[in-house]
Order: sequence, then structure tokens, then C-alpha cells
Amino acid sequence: MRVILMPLIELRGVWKIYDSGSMRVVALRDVDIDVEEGEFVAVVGPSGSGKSTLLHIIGGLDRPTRGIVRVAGIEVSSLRSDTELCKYRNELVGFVFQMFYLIPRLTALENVELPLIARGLDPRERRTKALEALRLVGLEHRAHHRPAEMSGGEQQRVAIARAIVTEPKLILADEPTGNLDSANARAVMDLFEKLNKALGVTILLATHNLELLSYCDRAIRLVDGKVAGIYDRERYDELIALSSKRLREHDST
Amino acid sequence: MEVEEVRVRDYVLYSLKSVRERRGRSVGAIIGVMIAATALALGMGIGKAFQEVFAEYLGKTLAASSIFVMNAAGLTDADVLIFSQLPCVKEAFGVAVSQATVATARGHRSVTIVAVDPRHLAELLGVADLNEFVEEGIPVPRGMEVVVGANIWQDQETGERLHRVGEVLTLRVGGRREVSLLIAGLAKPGGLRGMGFSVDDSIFMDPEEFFTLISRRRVYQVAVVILTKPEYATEVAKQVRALAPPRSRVFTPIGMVAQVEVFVNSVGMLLTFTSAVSMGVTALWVFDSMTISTVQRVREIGVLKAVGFTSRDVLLLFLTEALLISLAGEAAGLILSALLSRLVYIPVFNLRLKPVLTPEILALTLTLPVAANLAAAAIPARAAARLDPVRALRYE
Repeated sequence: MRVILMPLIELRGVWKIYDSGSMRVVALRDVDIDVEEGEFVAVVGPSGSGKSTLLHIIGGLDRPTRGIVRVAGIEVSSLRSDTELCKYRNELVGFVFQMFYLIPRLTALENVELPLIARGLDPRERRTKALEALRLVGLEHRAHHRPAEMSGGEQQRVAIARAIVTEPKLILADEPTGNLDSANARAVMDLFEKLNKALGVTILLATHNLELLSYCDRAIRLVDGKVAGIYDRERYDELIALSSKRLREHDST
Repeated sequence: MEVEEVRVRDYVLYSLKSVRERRGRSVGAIIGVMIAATALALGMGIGKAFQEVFAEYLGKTLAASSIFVMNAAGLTDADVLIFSQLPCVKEAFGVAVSQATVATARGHRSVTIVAVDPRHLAELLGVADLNEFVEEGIPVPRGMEVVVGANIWQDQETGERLHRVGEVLTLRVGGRREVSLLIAGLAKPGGLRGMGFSVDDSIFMDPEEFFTLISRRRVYQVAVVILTKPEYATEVAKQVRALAPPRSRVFTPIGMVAQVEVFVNSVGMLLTFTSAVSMGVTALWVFDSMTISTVQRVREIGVLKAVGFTSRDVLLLFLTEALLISLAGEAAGLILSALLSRLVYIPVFNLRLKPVLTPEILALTLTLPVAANLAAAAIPARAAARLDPVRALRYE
């Protein structure tokens, strides 16, 4: 008997076109992507190549203009109601952003509790889970500190704790190290690796920092909203060379 | 795990943190709601007090169906008889009034001696049963007996008893002449007062004895004309005015009450207007504050939506903030109203018209400012709820 495994993320012919009257911007062009459960995949490409849009569409924050987006068997592109989309985001996806986006007046613990508040969880259970998430990112001792009292690296780890507190299948990280120094960036990437390897969480990482590729199983290269190539570990050098060439061309023009 | 709705407790706790973060604006809005609630409660409370006091007063006393004739030179028995024979008049009686002084430990204090036929005393005082009138002793004085008002038989400040039933009370009348009378009853303090005089500062006695001991002239300072029906008051008052001696003042209590009503209603309207202005200003303040808050928290709204808060959750979070501000202002307003309703009053004749806070008034006071603020907050709250999460997260 042949077992057919369905990919966790499946995109078929996905287009995203922003139409604002006189301006028509194509952010994604006919994107086909498959990501297996437990994979750590980088989405690389220059600024404006559609990395963030891709993550937003997979995360149910935005809707594709055309095409099918399926995550964990759920056809996200056909979810219409606000409640369905919120339920999907809350149950299956954890977001990590470049600017952390922690709520300044809340403590680290309260920030991590937010997705569980949306879920209507009992306060005691919520607290236990949030503390456990903070322990996983090594910040249990900073639970009652506010974001302003923490370093950038610590804030991003709190944001990661917020993303994993609901035990999602998928983490969508949009330039998570873009605002960090190299030491903190390494710490954050080590943490992603730990979550991926130890907990089996699928991670989709949008970045233009090719140094981070060493953490990822595969890389999807986007150029002008189109998938320009999919690279496994053996072909990373090729991807780096290609990107450097493109960068040089960009500099010379 | 099934996603449920955000718990009410969490809406409150989350909103409370936001309200505290913007405490300057929140306190301003809370003060606005407090002023609106207080003015509304007092405005309606004064109106209610007027209705209660005067409806009760007019019902209990002869005021509703009577005409008062006052003349400083005095009205004779003949005048009273003429009034009593007018059409639509049930009867007429005179009330003799004189000023006197009583010796106290702190010197002499002035009192009013009131002499009225015992048959009309209850109506004049506004009591259903004359026994309600006295604290001790008998209510109807005969011969040299008197019933003394509360400010005379007890110390106004300490409440100490100065006179008892059975004691002799010496009055100084008409300059140096002293008259000794026997205290037969002690009037109850406070409560409804007789028209035109303070019961607490009066001494009641029999008219016959009054004309023997106090005033040698058999004249009344006031004549009360009682009608068969209150509707005839205006018409009969015209006739009484025509027949009364020169320089008489003729008035109907209903007419006076109507004038007072206009005044009290004006005060009530002024307070209600103050409340309306305050409510409007506060609602604008809440609108402005929530609009600024929405703009300042665009990214936060994006994050909330990204982690699973629905548009409805965001709407309710913002509305809860407005609700918390309103309830805090309401609580302060109700405490202030309760305090002021005890301290503030409008003097009407010798009555103190204090605002009456009924459950209906309290319910309206609670509802109106909250409704105004929620309506004001609804616009920015809806804008926050409708924010597109991607745009919100990209907001600079």
C-alpha cells in the first residue's frame, strides 16, 4: 500500500494583486509551494519580492486574489468569516515579527497570555501555559517585566513565546532577526531550531539574511512575487552566489 | 482545542490597563461623567422633591382649596363673616399672629404666637391627625395652655430639653409686658410647616385667650377662606380682593405653588441642561480620546487580530474602556449626588426642598451618561474592529 502524505502547507496558483485605483501592484504571481510538516524553510528574496505577503496569506491575515492556500488540510483561501480566520490563526499559526510587536503596558507574561485570552482559557491554566512558554525561551525570570525593561533579544524571545504558547503547527517568522545584533540573532535562531527539532513545529522564515540559511532545511527564493527557485542545503552556495551577483548588479545600477 | 470567546473578566482587565495607561484623559472623562451624573440626579431629584412635598402638602392641608387674606392692620370678625358668606365658600376663619420673645440661657429669642380655632389647626398644620403634631402632651391648647414649637422647647444646637409639659412659660409681648402661660404640649420638630410661619418657632394658643392676654384688639392678621372646590380659587379670590379691607394681600396657595413650581422647574432645567452639556462634552471627550487611542494602537490591534482576537473582541475591548470610564464617573457622581442631596436645598417658604433620589432617577442617572459615552465610543471602536490586520501591522 502506498501512503500519500499531505504537505502541511500547500499553495497552488496563488496570486496577490493590490489594486488601488490607478496603481496595480502584483505582490505574488502564480505561486506554487509545498512545505512538509516539521520542515524549517526559509523564504528569501530582496525587499518587495513578496516574502511578507506570502507569510500573511499563509497565516490567514490576508487573502489571495486567486489560487488555493491549504494549511493542515484547511483551505485557508476559502475561509471567509472573521471568526473562522481568527480561529485558524489562533489554533494553527504563531506569528513572529521583525519589530516584536509586544504590547508595552503588559508584562512579558501578559503578552504571552494574549492568544490564550482570545481562546477564552481559564486564567490559571493560561498562566501555567504562558510560564511554560517563557521557560522554553529561557525567560521565566523576566515574566513580570515590561518590554521596555528588556533587551531587543529578550523581547523577540517573548514574542516567540507568544507564538508558541498555543502549541501551533506552524510558526511564520517575518525577518525575526532584522532588528537584532548578531549575538541576539543567533540566540533567536538557536531557539527556532530547538522548537523545530524538539517540538516538530514547522517554521517558515522570511529573511534576506542568507547567513540564516544554515538553520533551514530548504530555501524558497522569491523574485518580483514569483518563485524563482527552491534550494536545498546542497545548493545554498548557488543561492548565495546568485543573490550576491544580483546585489552587485543592483549596486552598479 | 476549541476557541471560545474572550471572557468578560479579561475584557475588563485588559481595558483597565489601557484606561490606566491614558490616565490623564481617563480622569478628565471620569470627571465629566461625574458632573453629568450629579447634575442629572440633582436636577431630576429637585423636581421630584417638589412634586412629593407639594402634592403631599396640598393634599393634607387646606392649601389646595383655600385663599389667604393678609392684612397688617388686622381683619375683623365681620370681614371673616363676609368672606364666609361668598358663593362657593365652605367656611372662613381668622388666624391671629403676634411676635413675642422668650428668655433663654443665651438671651431672648423671638417667637411667633399663633392663635387659631382648634377645629382648623390640623388643616393649617398639614397633619392628618393632631396627635402627629405633638411629641408630648396635648395638641389642642385651652385657656392659658400653649403648645410650643421644637426650637423653643429644645436647644437647637445641642438638642437639650429646655422646657417640659406642665411648666410655666413666660413671654414678653408688646415691649415690656410679660405673660405667663402653661405648657400643655411640645410640638414635633421638622416635618411639614404651616403656610407662612415656622411651626418650630411658634407657640400655639386658643384665640379667645389670645385676645384676652396677648392682643386687646380682636383682629386677625390672616383670614383663611376655604372653598367648596379648588377650581373656584381664582374666581373667589377676585371677590375676596374686592371685599377685603384696603392694603390686604390676597393670594391662593395654588397660585403661589405654581410660581414656586416655575422657579423649581427652572432650577431643575438648569441642572438638566448642565447635565446635558456635560454629557455632550464628555461624549466628545470620549470620542476624541478613543479615536486617538485607536490611532496610537493600530499595531496593537494588528497583533491582537494576528493572535486570534476577532473584530467583535476588539470592538468590545474598546467599548469596555468607555464603559469603565463611564462607570467610574457614575460611581463618583452617585456618591456626590447622595452627599449633595443631603446638603443642598432650595428654600421655599419655610420648607427646605432637598433633592429626592428615587430608584427611577438613579436608573436614569446610571443609564444616560453610559449610553452617551458608549454611543460616542462606538465610532472609533468600530473603526478599530474593522482594521485590516496586515495594514495594522505595517502601520508606521
